[in-house]
Amino acid sequence: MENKIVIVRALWGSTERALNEVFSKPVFSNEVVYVWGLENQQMLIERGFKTVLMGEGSTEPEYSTVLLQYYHKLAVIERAGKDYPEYIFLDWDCYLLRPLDDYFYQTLREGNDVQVTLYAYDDKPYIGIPELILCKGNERYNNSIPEDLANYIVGQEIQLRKYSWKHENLLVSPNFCFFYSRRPGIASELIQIAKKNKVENCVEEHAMFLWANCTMDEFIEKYEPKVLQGTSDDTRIFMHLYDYENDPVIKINKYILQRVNKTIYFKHI
Amino acid sequence: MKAIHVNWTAPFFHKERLRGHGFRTTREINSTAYDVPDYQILYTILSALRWNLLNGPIDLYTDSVGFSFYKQLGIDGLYNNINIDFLNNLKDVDPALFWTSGKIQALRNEREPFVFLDQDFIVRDKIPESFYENELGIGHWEIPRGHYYFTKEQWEREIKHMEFPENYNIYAYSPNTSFLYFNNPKIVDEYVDWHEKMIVNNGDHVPEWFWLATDQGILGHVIREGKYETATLTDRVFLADNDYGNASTQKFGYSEQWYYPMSFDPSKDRIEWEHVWLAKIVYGLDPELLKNDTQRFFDEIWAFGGSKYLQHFRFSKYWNAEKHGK
Repeated sequence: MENKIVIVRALWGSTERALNEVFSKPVFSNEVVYVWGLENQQMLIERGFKTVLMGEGSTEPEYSTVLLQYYHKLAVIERAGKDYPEYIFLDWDCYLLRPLDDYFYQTLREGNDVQVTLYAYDDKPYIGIPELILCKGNERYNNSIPEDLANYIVGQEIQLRKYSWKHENLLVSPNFCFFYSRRPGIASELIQIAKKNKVENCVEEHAMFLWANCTMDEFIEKYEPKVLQGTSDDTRIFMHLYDYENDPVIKINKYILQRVNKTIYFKHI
Repeated sequence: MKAIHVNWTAPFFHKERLRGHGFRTTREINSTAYDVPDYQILYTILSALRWNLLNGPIDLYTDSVGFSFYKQLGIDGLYNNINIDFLNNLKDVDPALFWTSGKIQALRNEREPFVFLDQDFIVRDKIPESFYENELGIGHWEIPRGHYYFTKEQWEREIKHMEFPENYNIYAYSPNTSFLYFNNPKIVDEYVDWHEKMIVNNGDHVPEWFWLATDQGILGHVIREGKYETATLTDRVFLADNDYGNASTQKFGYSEQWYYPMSFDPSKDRIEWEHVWLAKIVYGLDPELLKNDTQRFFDEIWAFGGSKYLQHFRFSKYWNAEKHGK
């Protein structure tokens, strides 16, 4: 599909999960993957992707831990911001739902020079994640969470409580599945903020929270894009734990939709 | 034998203008974002899976939206190759009026012998090699009558952008195009050339029946003009606008859906296939049939080793521990 604003993706690591998310060919005609690892780059080239090699190893050594891995996304947008005056960073699990038409571009360009959507976690111990993993019907982890994942969840709760808005019983955070920018230097600012505050876990989201330095309502007014939701209504990752009205996904999306009129072009799972 | 599926999503984005009872389920989707009902995804998986098991590789023609949708569902891996460039660049056709144009125009990309399968066409046996000896093959013929079939006078009255094709025989059988085999690219070219000529309506109104003329009707014309011998999966012939009669209503003169010609080969009917087709219309009227068939498709995918294509959360409601295990 022809697209007027370049779509930027990131690929690092060599886990099965990361590689499985990669499309077998580019979805957009103007799409670039910033990639770590020669093997990863070769795989992408064979699939027809335009690539920019960020490092020969599959991760950046400085960010090569489970708690710092999302610095890779900031490194990608830092480089993309030098390569393109305007771009959309898109996670691989952000799926196109309709053609990108003139309204899509108009909506983005009439909005702020930086646009990031919001999502929410439940304000509960471990932000509800162990319940999600250990719930009946999900025996993926055999009722025993791997150490890395457990560390990540514990860390995420600590970080999220610092870098989120409390809203009703939710912890609301920027979601970096989609990042629109025509603002020079934004990524460097985010990296500086993240490092200064020793941010971990969802580094890019927490940095965005700090960078915005505003209330949640102000964030929604200034930065919330009109073209997607942080997590799609019908995804409802916590659906087996909550009834519809109490689902954090539904609650935050409903709150935002009362303030921002959206036409949804992407679904983030 | 290589097969292709074609999923052109453009008609969905004009769904308010899609005509006919067959689109009831699409029109009822309360979303401007692309989606299809579960049963349609499930029969698509089943069609590709079963073809691949016994008959050969299968490729997909779709567009960026369709590709993204299949990737999201985790079913893009059903296909050996996926082409999105052709349908992304398909222009100059009204997707609401000519909603099968994507599939017809995509045929021209294939120059080697191939089978086109509608996504709701499930082949459960190996097609015998003898079927492929003809230049062309179809699922079955149809006896044209009723709403979707026209007279010469009707064409001349209602179609403004082109004349009634010379030699067009409105009484001859019409080929059902849900399953097509081509081993001569010249036939594909003739078919697509005619189709392309017919869909340039210059903004003129066209009646609903006309789409079928651009799809099935004109292929029948191409076959007869070229005298192309055409194989069939079954010699049974479908009667359009029938009375859904059966053996017990025969005595009252009600017509049935299927008829055999005077000479036919009953051995062909050992090949098992299913075209969901008519059931899609009935689903709107019979929710129990829809529920049962959806579960049936799910169960069959599972039974034939396709569980990895059923991992998306939207399919979890069809999963049953007793039946499907862990």
